Amino acid sequence: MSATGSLEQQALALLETALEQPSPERVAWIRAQAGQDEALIQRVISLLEMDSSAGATLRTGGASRDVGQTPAPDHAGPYRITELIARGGMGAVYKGERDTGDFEQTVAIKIIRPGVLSDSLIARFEMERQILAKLSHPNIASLFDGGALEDRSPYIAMEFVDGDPITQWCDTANLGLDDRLWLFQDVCAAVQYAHQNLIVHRDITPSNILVTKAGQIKLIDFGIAKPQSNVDLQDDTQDAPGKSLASLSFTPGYAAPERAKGALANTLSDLYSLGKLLEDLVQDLPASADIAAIIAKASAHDIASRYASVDALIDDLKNYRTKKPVDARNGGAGYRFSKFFQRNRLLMTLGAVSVLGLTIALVITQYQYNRAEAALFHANERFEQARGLSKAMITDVYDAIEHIPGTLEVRENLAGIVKTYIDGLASDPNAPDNVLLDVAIQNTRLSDLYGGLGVANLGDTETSYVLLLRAEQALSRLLEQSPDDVNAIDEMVWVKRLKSNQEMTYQLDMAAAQKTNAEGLALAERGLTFPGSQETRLYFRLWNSRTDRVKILMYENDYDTAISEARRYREELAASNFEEEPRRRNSRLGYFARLEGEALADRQRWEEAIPPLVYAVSAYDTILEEDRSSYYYNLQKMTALGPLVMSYLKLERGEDALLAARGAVELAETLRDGDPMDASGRGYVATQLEMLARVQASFGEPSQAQSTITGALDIRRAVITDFQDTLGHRRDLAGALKTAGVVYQTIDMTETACSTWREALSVLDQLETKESLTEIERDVWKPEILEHRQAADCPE
Amino acid sequence: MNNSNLVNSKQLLQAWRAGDTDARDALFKLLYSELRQVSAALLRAESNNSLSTGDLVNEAALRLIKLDQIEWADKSHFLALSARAMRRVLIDHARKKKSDKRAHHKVTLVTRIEGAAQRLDMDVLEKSLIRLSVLDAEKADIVELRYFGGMSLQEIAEVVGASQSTVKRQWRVARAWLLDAMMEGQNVGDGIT
Repeated sequence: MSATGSLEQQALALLETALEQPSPERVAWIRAQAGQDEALIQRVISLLEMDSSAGATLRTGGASRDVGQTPAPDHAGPYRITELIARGGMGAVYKGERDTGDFEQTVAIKIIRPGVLSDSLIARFEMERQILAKLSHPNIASLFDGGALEDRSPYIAMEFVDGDPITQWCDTANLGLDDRLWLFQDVCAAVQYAHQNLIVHRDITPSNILVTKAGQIKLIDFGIAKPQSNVDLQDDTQDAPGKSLASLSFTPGYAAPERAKGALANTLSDLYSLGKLLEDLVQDLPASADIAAIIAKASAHDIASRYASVDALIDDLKNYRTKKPVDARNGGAGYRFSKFFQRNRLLMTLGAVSVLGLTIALVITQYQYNRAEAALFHANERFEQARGLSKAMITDVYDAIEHIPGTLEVRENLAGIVKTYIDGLASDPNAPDNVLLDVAIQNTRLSDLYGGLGVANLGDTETSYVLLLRAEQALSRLLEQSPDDVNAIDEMVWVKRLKSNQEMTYQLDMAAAQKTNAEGLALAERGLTFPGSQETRLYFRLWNSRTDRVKILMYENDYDTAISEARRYREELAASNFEEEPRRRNSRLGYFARLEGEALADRQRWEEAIPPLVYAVSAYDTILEEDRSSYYYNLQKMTALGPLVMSYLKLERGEDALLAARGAVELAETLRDGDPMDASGRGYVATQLEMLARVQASFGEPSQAQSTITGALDIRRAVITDFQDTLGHRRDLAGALKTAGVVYQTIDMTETACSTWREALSVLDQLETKESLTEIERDVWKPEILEHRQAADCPE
Repeated sequence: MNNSNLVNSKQLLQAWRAGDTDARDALFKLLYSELRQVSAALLRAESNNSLSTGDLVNEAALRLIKLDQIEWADKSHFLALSARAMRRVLIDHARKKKSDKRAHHKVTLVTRIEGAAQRLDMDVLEKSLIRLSVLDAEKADIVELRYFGGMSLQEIAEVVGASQSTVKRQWRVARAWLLDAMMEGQNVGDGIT
């Protein structure tokens, strides 16, 4: 199957070739290859970035480790691990002891699992660790140490806090409002300290604020905290929404609403969380209007309405404690401050607000853009998935099972599902190139299924041909739009080939077959001059079309040209240094040898026919040694045996003829038994039985010959009953009857011979009334039969 | 594992090679149950062993067939089938674990360090892998062989009949695509974007 056009598949293919380029040149290379297709360029570049940040994810055999729980390491740096505290998706926290013996210290060790962080995130983790190490505050759990384990998993060692979440502690201790406010003020002081050090906590929740048995507040889990800087703001905006480690890290309910929209975390989002925490702390106590106002101001939905900083919140709490009017209630900024300070603070606030406002506007725009993009992406994705699914069924699944015997029924079911779908696709007047190519490919596969030549099929050749025409139509549209699309050319050459074959074999329209074949050959030769054609199957399809050319020449009785073309192609193949599997090469050499032998046999040049035919049989034997069940090669071998039997027969090499004929019958039976629903299979058996009967009539037991030919005729008649409308099967019956007559006469059953020939003539007459008699039948078979009848003195 | 199973699986392998898909399915079932057994201890984290997935696959395969006594082509097909069975075992396990987790919610200290997008969720991986196989079955197979089957690049190259460098490139492309797809799947699942 050729490469198809979905964006995702193009991106996969392009990325694969991009990786062959030296790494600094990849992006430029991708742009050069993708031309104007900006969507493709962006997609491939984003995948390329993903590749470089993949780190140690999805390692060889890593599945069990990623699923199973990693056993706790014995040590992390100087710490001996004693027990597991908690486990999360990205790693685990252990309790550890300092092992060096110089002093005792219990620590909490957080270990990031190997493979979950990319290299760039590991670097970030390291950076955060260094900044956190500088924080020294009684209400912030200290960070002692950090490093990496042997397997490169990063770890940090923190102060081990044996405590309870603040809300739980307050409830257990049954604290009143004042005590709760004191504790809350400590929390605020710790956050304020972090903010002064340019660190935002980002995840202020009750479970990250512990109270020790001694009643001391400890903020933990600054793991995601990172410095406030312009560089960082930029980082966060670019990553938003959702892709950076930090921007996803918040607890719904505690996180500021703007963060849910992908905004960067900042001091004001921490402030919002503090407001929410206060709300949680006082919720079961009698209501206080002042406290409610403070909570409302801290956790105002609108950022500009919040306190300007944690300092302002602390100040207002102090106002409440000292029974002064709280800012939150009168909204006035500052009769308690000097004018100077007031003005400066106001300026600072305004400055901060406007910068923030700008940033937020940017982030929101970005967010909305991403939302629209995402909606489009998902719509496209659903379409792609549906298309992909149908394509997978008809190409991948179909191709995979096509040559496996016994799958005909499965493939029939596949066809029904897919046919409805592609009819819908094809009716879209705006269908893009890749959809058209899909339509073509799927029609082609379906065509094979209904009546493909040389593959197990349902015997419905009419439907099969119509499907090919549809494929041709879709590809013509596509090639009008993009005449240089090698994938479309590739598929078109294939469609032309199948079409030409059907015209030749089912419709017996040799002129049409030759025309279609010539179109395919020309297209293939043209396509092979385009860049990228070596990625397609064009080379092989050119050769397929060439084999067809020889076959058509033979059908048209131009044997001399057929023989010389076959020889020319064989020589060209032998001299070609095109790199391909030996199996393919053997297959092609075998094929041309077979055609050459067939043509020679048809010219009754029996002696000359034998060497190429023997060559062909042995070439196929070599291939079949590797894969005995191959439908195709069994068929090819069987076909080569036909003229070989005939040549032996004519040269009166009885033993050789019998051996070859029996071999051919066996092959035919193998093919038929592989797929009992396959209409061709029975035809093959009949043909080989006919041949065997002729050999047996001349060189074997007459009774054997008689039963063999009866078997063949029974099959022919049964096939016609099953497929009434396929004229080819009637033609086969006429041929079988003609042969049967010869067999009967040879074993001295002249009467039966005469009646059999009469029947043959009447079948041919029926065909003639349907204007479906070929030249051979009219000019060769009919006179031959008449001659036979005359020679045998048959009654009129 | 008794002797009759050993004989049985060899016959199944031969039948499969001859085109019998029922035999393949039967063989898959055998492998699946073997793998489930040999990997149970590891997945429960009861022991401190450090068996990799590849070791497990080989172990399970060995219990069914003496690998050195079969032809290379058979062996590679067999290992590839084992990789598929391993994938099933691990996905089953991950899903079970996930549903257990939902049953009793617990507060953890390690709350927020994991960006959801970075977590390797087997379920999401499996869904992404199925999508990849629709787009490019060859690449999805390579992921299966490598990540679930623990096969080396060289072994995979031999199984799929491509050069090692081609396999490696395909692997990188598949991995990049999967990681991207998994982020996408995760974000959608979390309802954050």
